[in-house]
Amino acid sequence: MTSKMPAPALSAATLLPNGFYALTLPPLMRKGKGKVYLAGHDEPLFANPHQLFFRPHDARVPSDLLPADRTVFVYNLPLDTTPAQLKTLFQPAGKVEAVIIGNVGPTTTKEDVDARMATLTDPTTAAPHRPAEVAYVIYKKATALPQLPKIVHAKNWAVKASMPMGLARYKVRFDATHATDHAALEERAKEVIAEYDTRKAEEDRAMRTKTVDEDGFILVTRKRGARVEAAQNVKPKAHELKDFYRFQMREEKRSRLLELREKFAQDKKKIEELKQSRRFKPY
Amino acid sequence: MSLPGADYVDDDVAMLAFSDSADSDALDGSDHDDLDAMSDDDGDESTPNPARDDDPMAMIFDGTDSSATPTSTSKKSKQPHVKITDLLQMDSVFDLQVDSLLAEVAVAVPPAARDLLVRIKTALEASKPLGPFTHVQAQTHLRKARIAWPWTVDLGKDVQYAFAYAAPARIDVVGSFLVGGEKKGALIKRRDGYNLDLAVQMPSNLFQPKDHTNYRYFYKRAFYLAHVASLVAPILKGKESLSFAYDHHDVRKPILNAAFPAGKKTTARIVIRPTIAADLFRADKLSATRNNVRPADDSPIAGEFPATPAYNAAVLADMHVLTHLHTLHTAAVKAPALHDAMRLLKVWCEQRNLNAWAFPLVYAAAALVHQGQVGRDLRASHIFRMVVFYLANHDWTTPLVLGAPIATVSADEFTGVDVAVVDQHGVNLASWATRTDAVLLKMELQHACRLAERGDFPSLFLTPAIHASSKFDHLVSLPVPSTPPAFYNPRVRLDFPHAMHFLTRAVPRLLTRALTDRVHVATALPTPTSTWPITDHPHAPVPDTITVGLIYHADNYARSVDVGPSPADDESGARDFRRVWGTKAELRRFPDGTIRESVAWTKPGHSVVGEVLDYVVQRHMQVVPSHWTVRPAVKMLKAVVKASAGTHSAEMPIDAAFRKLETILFGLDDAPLPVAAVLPVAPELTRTAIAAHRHPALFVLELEASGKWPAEPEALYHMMTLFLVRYAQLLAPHGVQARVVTSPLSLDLTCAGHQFTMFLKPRGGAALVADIKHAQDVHQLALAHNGFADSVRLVKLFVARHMLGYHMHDQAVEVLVAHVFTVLERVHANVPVSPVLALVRALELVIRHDWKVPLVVKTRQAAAKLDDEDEDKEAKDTVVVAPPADGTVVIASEHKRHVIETVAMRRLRQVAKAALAYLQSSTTLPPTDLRPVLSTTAHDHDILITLKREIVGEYVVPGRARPAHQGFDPVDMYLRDVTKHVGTLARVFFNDVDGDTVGVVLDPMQLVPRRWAVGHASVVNPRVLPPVEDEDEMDVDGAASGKGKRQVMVQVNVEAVAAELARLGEGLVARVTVQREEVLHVASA
Repeated sequence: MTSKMPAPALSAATLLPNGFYALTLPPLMRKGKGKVYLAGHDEPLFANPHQLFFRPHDARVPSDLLPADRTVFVYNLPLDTTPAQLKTLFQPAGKVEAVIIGNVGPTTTKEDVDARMATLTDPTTAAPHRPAEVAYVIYKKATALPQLPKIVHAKNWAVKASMPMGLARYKVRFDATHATDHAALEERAKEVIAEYDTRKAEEDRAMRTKTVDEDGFILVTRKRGARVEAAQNVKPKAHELKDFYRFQMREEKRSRLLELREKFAQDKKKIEELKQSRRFKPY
Repeated sequence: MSLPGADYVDDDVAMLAFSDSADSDALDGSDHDDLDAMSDDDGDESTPNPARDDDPMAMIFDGTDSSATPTSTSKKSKQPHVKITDLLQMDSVFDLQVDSLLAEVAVAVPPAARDLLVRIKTALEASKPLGPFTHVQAQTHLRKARIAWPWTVDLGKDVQYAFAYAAPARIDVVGSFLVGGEKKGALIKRRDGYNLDLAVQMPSNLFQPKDHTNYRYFYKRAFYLAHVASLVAPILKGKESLSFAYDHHDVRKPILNAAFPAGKKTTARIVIRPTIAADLFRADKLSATRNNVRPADDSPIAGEFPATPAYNAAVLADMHVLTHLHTLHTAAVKAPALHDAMRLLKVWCEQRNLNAWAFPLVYAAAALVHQGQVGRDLRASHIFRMVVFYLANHDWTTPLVLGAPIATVSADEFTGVDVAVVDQHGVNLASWATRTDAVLLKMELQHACRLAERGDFPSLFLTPAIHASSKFDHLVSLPVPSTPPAFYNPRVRLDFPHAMHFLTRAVPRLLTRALTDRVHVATALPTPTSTWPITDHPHAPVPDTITVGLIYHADNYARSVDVGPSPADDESGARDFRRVWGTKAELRRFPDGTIRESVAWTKPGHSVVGEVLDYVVQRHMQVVPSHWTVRPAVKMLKAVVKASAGTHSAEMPIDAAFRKLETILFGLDDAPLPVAAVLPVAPELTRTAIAAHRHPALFVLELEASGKWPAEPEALYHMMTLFLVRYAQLLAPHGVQARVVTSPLSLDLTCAGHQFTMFLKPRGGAALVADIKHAQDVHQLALAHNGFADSVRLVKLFVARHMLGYHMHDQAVEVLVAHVFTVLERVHANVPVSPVLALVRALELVIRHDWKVPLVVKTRQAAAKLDDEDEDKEAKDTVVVAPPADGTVVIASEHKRHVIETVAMRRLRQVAKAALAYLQSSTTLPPTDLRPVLSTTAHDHDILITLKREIVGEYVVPGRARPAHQGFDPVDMYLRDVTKHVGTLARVFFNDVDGDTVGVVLDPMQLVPRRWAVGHASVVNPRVLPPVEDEDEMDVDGAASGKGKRQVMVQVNVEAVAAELARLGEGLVARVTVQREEVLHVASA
């Protein structure tokens, strides 16, 4: 192995034994930015070949979001992949209807996906993907799928369209959380609170008025904040007189003696244990 | 009985030892009286017994402070500690532990040792007389016998007296071996084996009555010893060997060691000491006030010759070896547990490097028994406590008289002696000790008192050996000049013939005089006894470098002016002051109107002591001392902290800004809710931050309680936003810039050039409350202990420099240091003042703690100085003390549990070990540079991410306020991203104080090829491996071979991961270096 690995020629996808297609992406770094070196070598490692895997989606549990015949499952996204990049990569095979980044399970709803995609496209909230992230590319027509292996080609990966990372992203994020426009903030807060207040008032009113339900029962609720006295905390009164009878004293003495003896036995045991663990070496 | 001396310990025979003594009759009588009295009132010693008023033994122990004169029994009630009733309430655990410990240190003297003793005895008894020889003849004789005369003191030319040898008058096994009977004994196993003392009494007719003067006795003794060596040498077998050594580093008193193997690793020794009969010399001639060494004619000594107490004590000690044994033995017979108590005392001494004190302590125990203070039924631990309490309450500047002195001895004669522990014959048992030795001993004794009161057995007897670097705040080593300094003048030369030996005593005294109350102790570190083969010329008794350990006084050590007496009032005092300080002393007028001698120092804080030492040592000894790490440490701390007003003024500029802000906040009139409290949280505000202003300093504004806060989280959030916006408006007229941060919701403030972040606390989130409480505790500790804040900073710096800052929370480090200052106070007698000492102890803690259990410090209790007597509280803390989960370790306080990955802790332990090995590499020449401890190597990281220096410098320069960035720290954000991104694949290390390189260590287990999987078991950034043809490899994976072609093996694409890390930090990362090529292609390797 040498550090000067020739950049692999951009190629089409290759089929793996398990049915996936592997596609080696071009170097993903924008020009001139932090390169990867091997210690002791002056030339940077050039290729950094990132492999992208895809295959037609075959969900064991069908989901409404992912039509079985026209969805491509993509695996191992680079951390800064944008939906646009996936779109341009897979577009040549046919018109792409939607791109979903992140796992879609049987319980995932359309709203979840929409929210997720919205976060990704908003520069103030976009975060790098977790390692080996998956995506789904949904074509308009089912005819696109068979063409995939031939048409998807690494040259179509738009390196420059990736998410902004690093300093630029941090600055955006920082500015987003550090408000400069207090007035707007105030306005928004007041809106929310006003809304909350009206809702609260509504609830209270409902509580007061809606006391008789359909069956004619009156719903009794306890007032908010009222407290029930914890009855169990009251101590039962001691009825017994201590040391009243002679036998009590005797018994106590005996039990105390027993306790002492027990304690001594315990101590002995403890020491024995300490001895076992060789704790008594003074130096 | 075949054993020499064994018959001696029989009680009746033991009295025979006294038959030679002129004064023994009276003593014998009193002994027996005392014994009778004992049987009458056993166990009731605390009540004054008028019947014993006239018993001299009873009266000696009355005074706790000064026992110079017998005092009345009324004083007895003033001894607070020795209460029998208290002592009897000991728990059985302590006693059981004592028993186990004693079993551990017990010595089984092998038959070989007894055999050797018998052989030596027989050889000496059968030896033929020799001489008398003249000096020259004696020299020739020894040369022929190939024995070097163990003598180095120059006696001049006129040694006129005769040297002779005759078989010893008697040979006895003395010392602890046979104390209390052969079955008992007070011998213990030490680190280097054990010693059996053999007293060889030289016949009285070898000496003249005047031989106690001018080294004559010692010179003859050395000759006698040399001849004994020549007699013993031929009878040695196997691995037994002979060597000379000095007794207590005293060149006058060589001793002969016959070493023999005792066990696998240990070597034991029979120490042969020539002694003389107790009546050989007149005791009054050898009293501490007499001179017995006359100077040579040419020495200019004006007036009367100075007394030679050390010389006299050395002769006296040889006269009374048997007497001492008798005292110990009779006491051990009286109190059956005494011999065990003696062993406890010895173990205690051995652990604290106070070996030389073992005999005086043991003797004190015996004297207490004779005095009647120890009842027959007291256990060993009780006696140990009594001795420790008794000696800890003694004022060591006055003589301690043990036993009833005979008529001719008075304590007054010892007033001129440094330390006096006087037995009944006027022998000073501690003639070798200096004042500072006694101060150190007293310190340890007082500490032992506290531990004994608590019944803390492990701290008392099981502390691991304490290295000097974890005991003293500062170590300084002085090379001794070839020509001794001027203060080694002819007068002191009489009593201290060896210059080096004198200096080890004098230098601490000089430094103590110079440092006055800046230090508790300035003492020369004990040096190992040097031994040399009997054919060699004598070695120097001490090495030629003196290392002095200092324990700082927390309040005084950094004082910048030394004020002396006023020459008008105290002329001699002023002269003394001038003598110490020379031209540096100046007359100054002080605010109270007096004009006094004074010395002013220029350096701040810790450096003052260094400056004083440098000046004094150079002025008086013309050498330059080398300091232990402290000074570079201070420089480094200063560079890092950069508190502009000087590191040591507790006042930091940010404190002032914070107080101003606090006032403003409390004074706001139109605030929506009144302010209840302003609670600092950030380390910057508790003076424990390494880099002031790395982040805006966090504090919490606590408002008066109100029931009107909305219940829903979202509404609450917006309500708090409104509050913060209102505060921003209110603060603007006061010159405080504010802006609301929406996540996490807070207010960023800029006040007086300092950055703050304010959280609002309408009702406490648990985490925030814990942080507040922790900060309060840290603040309390910093106020209680002068060195705490600095120490926290240094330890934090250590952690950060070793790139562990992202693994150990700041608070965890604070808890660690709190442990050093509070819990370790049981192990060490002093709390650290210098940060380096705290660092050393923290490192020891990291190494020694068993991390399978959490390290818990009750910081609240410690800060409030509560004792953890309250057992009920324990139950509540079970969450905190629950054992750590796999792969983690836990550092916890009452408030919070900090979980640290084992990987990080392992690294910390590694670097801690390396750092300690460096710091403790040598006791005599401590390392002067701290830098190696605080610098780390990155060579063991798999991937290095080099950040752009200009970016790091722009945002993260330590200690510099960058208001323009408003706390924007992209480096921190990047690190968090990286950590998140690599997940379990790797650990990320970064020096977040002043580093610019991120180290990434890959988990080797995750680099091996795996089967293809999408989902949970998937590989981070997989790369498909070419199909493997080799049948064997496929067979390893049974399922794979079955399914044949369907299997795909993948592996982490390290190169792509590295590229992703570079992309993640676009604009921040200069380059990413993969350190080893193997990690790229594990499979092909």
